[in-house]
Amino acid sequence: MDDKSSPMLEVKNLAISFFNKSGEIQAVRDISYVLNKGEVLGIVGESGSGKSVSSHGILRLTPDNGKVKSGEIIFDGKDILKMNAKEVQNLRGNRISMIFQDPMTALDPLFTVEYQLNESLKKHTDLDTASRKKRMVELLELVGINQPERRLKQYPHELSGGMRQRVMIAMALSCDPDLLIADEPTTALDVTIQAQIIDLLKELKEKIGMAIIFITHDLGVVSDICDKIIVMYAGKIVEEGTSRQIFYHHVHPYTQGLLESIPDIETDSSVRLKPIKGNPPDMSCVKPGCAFAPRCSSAMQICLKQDPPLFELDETHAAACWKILKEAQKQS
Amino acid sequence: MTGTGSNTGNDEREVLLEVRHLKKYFGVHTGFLKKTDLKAVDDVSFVIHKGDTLGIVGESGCGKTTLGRTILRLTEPTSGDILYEGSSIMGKNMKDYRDKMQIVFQDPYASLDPRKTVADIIGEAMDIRKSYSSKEERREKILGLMHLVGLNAQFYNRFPHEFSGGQRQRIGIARALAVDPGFIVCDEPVSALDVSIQAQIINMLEDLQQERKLTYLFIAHDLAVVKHISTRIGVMYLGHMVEMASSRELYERPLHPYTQMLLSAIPVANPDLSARRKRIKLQGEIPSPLAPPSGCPFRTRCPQACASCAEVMPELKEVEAGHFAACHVLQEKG
Repeated sequence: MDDKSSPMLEVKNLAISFFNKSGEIQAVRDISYVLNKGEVLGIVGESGSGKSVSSHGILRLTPDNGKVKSGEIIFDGKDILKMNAKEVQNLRGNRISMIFQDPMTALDPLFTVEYQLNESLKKHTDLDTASRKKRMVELLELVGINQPERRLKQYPHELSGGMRQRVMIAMALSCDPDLLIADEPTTALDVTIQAQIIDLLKELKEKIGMAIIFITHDLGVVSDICDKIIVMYAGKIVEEGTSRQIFYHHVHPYTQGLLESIPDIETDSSVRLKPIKGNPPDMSCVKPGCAFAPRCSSAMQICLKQDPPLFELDETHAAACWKILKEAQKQS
Repeated sequence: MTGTGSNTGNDEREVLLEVRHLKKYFGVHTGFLKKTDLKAVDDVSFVIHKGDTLGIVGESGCGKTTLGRTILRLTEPTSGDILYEGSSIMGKNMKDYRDKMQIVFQDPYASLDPRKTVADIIGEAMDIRKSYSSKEERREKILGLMHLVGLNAQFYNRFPHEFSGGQRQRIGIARALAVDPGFIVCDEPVSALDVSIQAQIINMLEDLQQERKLTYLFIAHDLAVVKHISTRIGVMYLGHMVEMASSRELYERPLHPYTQMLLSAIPVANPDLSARRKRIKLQGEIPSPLAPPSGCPFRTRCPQACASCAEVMPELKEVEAGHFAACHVLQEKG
């Protein structure tokens, strides 16, 4: 773990599919990435792009009708996909924990905050009842909940949406995880609460130094928290790079389209938005070629026939687009 | 509110819709034989000019959706008056107004009847009004509307479940347009959609407004979207209108502390800009609308709150030309 040269998490050629009556739905198609200790990785994509499925796979939370077709998820030198149920349970909530999108459905309405916070502490630590209680109060204070003793006795329905999400974060942090997976943690919240939660995550990242995978559909949310960003489309990584590379030096037409279709509060509102034409592809019948080609304004012949690999632009920046190859050939 | 309809600035243009002191209270059981009023919309007044878009923003529970529904009398207002083209719609048969005032709902998955085909969903209002003389004409009109909102003619006999969210929202818009209304309440029409699709629908709504001289009441929680589409914007907080100004004015010089807080909380897809931006330290959450604070509803979260804020609810007053705000601190300064 202390070895800085080896990454903490390495996802290699991961492919996850769902099977139903009509056949196979390829949700995640061959994605690879690495995450180092203390890094914040943003995974951005629209609904159905596979961003959640790929990250749930890390904790082996793929639903019953889903199947990991291939790949390795190496965490701290061990492949999570090859672990038995007990080993995975020792990871969950302990070394890797997760925050879900909807804090109302992720908390159990029948139990108090205390009971739910206690669960993972009881399982993963040797603390006695009194010190567990102390730790719980500390945790609630850490995530900015006032009157923690009183809150512990309350049920989820007595808390507001922002407060519930804070409780979820407190639960996730209870065993000092090395990695926190945040699956759209602010999507169900109001803007003012969203800003508070993002500030909190930033603060925690500095204080505790854990790595975060931040899944979102909103590029605005990840702009000032992430070190690295992966843009996903139709189950594949279309572009990856540092935050600055994605926002200012993006090369993939999808990344560009995504950034351009967000209305900017700074610009004049008479400027028309530039949407990406068409609709996201149906993942149950994947056609050959680049999945984005039917919506792409600069699509070429080859785009419809052959899926582009990830071309490396520099050490940290890569994009899957034939345009890059064409431009490189032009230059040489 | 000082004099109804004064919050328009000095605008001579034709007023399409006027709302006067609109209130909508819901009775909520809060104990045995105990009922408390939930003031979803509390004394809201404004006017909308023909061809304009009034944007309404606010956090969840601020009453923006109730406002939209109450204006169409989909829920009866508790008190207040709504005037369409100068005459009150209160106490009248709404059937006469449904072809003038329409609504596009938030959730494109819940607002379309799953057992009807696209043609029947769009054509339903025409069927009720018998606004066609032959089946041929009905078909033509429906196909015309489908073309207008960018739906392929081959979808004519398909069912809603066969469509994606963006396409469903197009069906919902075509349905609203079927009776050729002058005024449409757009209740968060894009918030359930992906960003790339959002922009398509916003552009389409703008085009339709140009072509058909439509007037919108555009309700959304996404401030960037509201700013983009609106001519004027009203900010709501706990059932009250706290600030109202032209779209540009509101974003460039927000006066009410709540508006300032909302604006500073918007995430920007630009790391440099977002690092540069002044962030107002945000605190607290919306109080329960069942037990709102006395006086100004925002005082519990307001960094500038003073003693007088706890006593009286500030009125929405013109602080600067065309710029209205309901804040004691501001009004004292002015």
